[in-house]
Amino acid sequence: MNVRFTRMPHGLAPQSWSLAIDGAHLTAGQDFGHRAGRFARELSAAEQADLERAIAAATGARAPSAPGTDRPLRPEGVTEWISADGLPDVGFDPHAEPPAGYGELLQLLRALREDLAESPVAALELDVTGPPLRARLRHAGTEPLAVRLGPLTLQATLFGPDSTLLDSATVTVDAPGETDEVGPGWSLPLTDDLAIPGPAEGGFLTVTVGTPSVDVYGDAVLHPVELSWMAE
Amino acid sequence: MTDRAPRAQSPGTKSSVARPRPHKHAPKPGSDQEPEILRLQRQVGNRVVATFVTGLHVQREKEGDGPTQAIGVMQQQLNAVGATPRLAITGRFDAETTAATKAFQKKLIKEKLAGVTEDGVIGGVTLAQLNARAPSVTISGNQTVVTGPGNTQQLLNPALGTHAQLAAGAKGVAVKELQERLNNAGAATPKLAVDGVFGPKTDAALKAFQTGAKVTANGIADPGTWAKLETAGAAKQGHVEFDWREEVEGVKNVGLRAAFDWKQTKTALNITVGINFTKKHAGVDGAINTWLSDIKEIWSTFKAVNVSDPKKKSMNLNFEAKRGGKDHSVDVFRFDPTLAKKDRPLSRSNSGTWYTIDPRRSMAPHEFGHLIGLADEYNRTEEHYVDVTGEEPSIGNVAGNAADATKLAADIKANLPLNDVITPPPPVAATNDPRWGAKLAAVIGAKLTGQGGFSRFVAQQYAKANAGASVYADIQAAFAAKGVTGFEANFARCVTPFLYSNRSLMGTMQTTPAKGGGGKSAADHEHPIEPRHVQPFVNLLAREWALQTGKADTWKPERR
Repeated sequence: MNVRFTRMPHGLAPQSWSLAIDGAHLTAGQDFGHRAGRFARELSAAEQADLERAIAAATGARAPSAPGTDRPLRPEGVTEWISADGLPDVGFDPHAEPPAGYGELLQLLRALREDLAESPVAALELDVTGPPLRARLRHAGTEPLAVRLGPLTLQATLFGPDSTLLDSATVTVDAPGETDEVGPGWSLPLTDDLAIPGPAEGGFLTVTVGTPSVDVYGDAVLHPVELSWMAE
Repeated sequence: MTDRAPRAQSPGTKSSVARPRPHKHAPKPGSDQEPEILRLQRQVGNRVVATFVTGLHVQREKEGDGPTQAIGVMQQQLNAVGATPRLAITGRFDAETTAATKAFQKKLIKEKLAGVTEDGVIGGVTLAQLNARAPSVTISGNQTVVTGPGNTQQLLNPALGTHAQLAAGAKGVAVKELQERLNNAGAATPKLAVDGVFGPKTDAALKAFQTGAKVTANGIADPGTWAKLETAGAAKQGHVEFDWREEVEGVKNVGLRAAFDWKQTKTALNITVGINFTKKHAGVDGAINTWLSDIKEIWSTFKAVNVSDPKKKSMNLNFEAKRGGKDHSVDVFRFDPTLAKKDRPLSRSNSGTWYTIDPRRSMAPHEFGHLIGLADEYNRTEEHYVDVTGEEPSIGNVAGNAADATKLAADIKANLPLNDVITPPPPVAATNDPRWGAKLAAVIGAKLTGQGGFSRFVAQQYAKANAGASVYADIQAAFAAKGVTGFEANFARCVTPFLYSNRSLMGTMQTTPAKGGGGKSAADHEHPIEPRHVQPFVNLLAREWALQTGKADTWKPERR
């Protein structure tokens, strides 16, 4: 069983992932999120059976035409793609109704991808603790990871219950700009005090860091990544 | 407001030096406002002044010099004064720059300008004339030379015009525009009620107009009929809609349908976009209100000025997005629900999906720009960038070793077609498999980290070694051959260095700060509206003004 699930942003901002299933082996790379880098784990027999059933359900479904062929791609939008044995490649807007017959497969793949972030092979992670809010980057996983840090911008944004912006803070960290390899135990402190209050009832606080470059797919290409953290 | 600083000039190279004739708006000779150098020029003659200027320690650039930003500016200037073919903005004074300089000098000599020698060296009077005729300014953070007004609305099919096709039964502002134009074209007796309802009287008037205009009298306001109506009868309100497309980041067929209403009052042209917000999550109304406020505040900063009018009559250009209507649909979420919870702070809005967790203040105004038909100004090819912005390509990073550029050009060629070994083989066609192009991306990424002069120099070396081939087009074709049709990450990494971006509102938004509460706001100059972004609306106003008054006056956008 070969399956590939990719997300591609219509623009250079980090917003992509790629998940690949080869038999029982599941690997993925993503350039954004609370962890950015490479991930892997083995699928259980039940998961494999679920996937095979979902692929069978999609087989024979009328494949929709891909975005960009019969209709234009939205500026700054996102396209998700599924490629699998026996199925034509299918591309779709993640917020649109899934193509007929692909709903279950898409749901399974999304769940696998979300869960996979808990199985890092080599990734950068944004770690925030406090109060006072302290932030650092750290290596997650077991294998070394090629990174290029350079100037990093940390932005914290406080939202009220009705999604209005209440406060924000920005911290710039002048990290080394050379390509380096980091491994287990590595961390880089970003700030000891973000100087922003915690969220009120119903509100939330987000922290993002951009834009280090990371070997996301294990192919020696450094891709800009954005990292995130959130508290409610 | 946007910083607009004139380009710093070397001593003795003021743009007024050695001009052939006094400018029609030049200070009166002998007045206190007359610059000293002009006074000298008037008193002792061009030749003496030119000798004086060239004797000063001034900037002189010649073949072999560079790479520098200053030479990049000169190349932009030479393009602006008509270099043919266009010069690559590399910041390196190459043989092509010498030839273009000589051509410019030949032109100056033909104009009988004193102190000019056709030597291909830029300095003295040649530099002064370049600065006078093609001044470099700072726009949206880029030092650039402006060559035209730009063309920010990129219609997919200009022949289809910018109107909806209307027939009996239609309703709305577009019909009101039709009725006004028919009335003012004299096609309806008595005049039609401007009620926005396409009934039998409107149908009869339209057929009468079509008969007179020698187009098919079918009662359908189609592109051919609208083209005639737009020159036959004025309107003070209307509806515009058209499809627009762009090629951005190497990907074709990106775009939308633009749609908006306009209404002319005594003092303003009001542009209104109706957006049907579909609230996918609860608790998003506060953010929607903020977005609508941001759009109004950031966009309504220009006026149109009648520069043909001695009194300089002006009309404000007001932009507004309103809830409801059929112009556009936007889904509103608190966050991107397809992302894991911890990843949601990185939800990034687009033209049809807006997230309240997206803190970028420029987000809604930028997407509004798309909804009124404006193209992006980031990661565009040189040709598109110049066409859309009317500006010369950014000089960017010019530093780099020439031998490195030649080697990189050769290394790029050696990796085309893409020769990645994909293991295991991709299932089926594996459209947009992100493993394609990894080797090429690594080769390019190791040497090119920014856009501008050095990347352009590499492209130039690639073209020289490959019979004029475009490195951008060759990379694009190589990825297409592997089924990569979209924004695959390695594809983007490979083509982006050879593209151009700016930091206008329609340019890259990556550094836009959040608009927080407590009095915090984005820096005003961060991602501004530029005159070109409102030019289409000034053109619309000028067209209607000419119909209403019979005066073909020139209107220009100015900041309020």
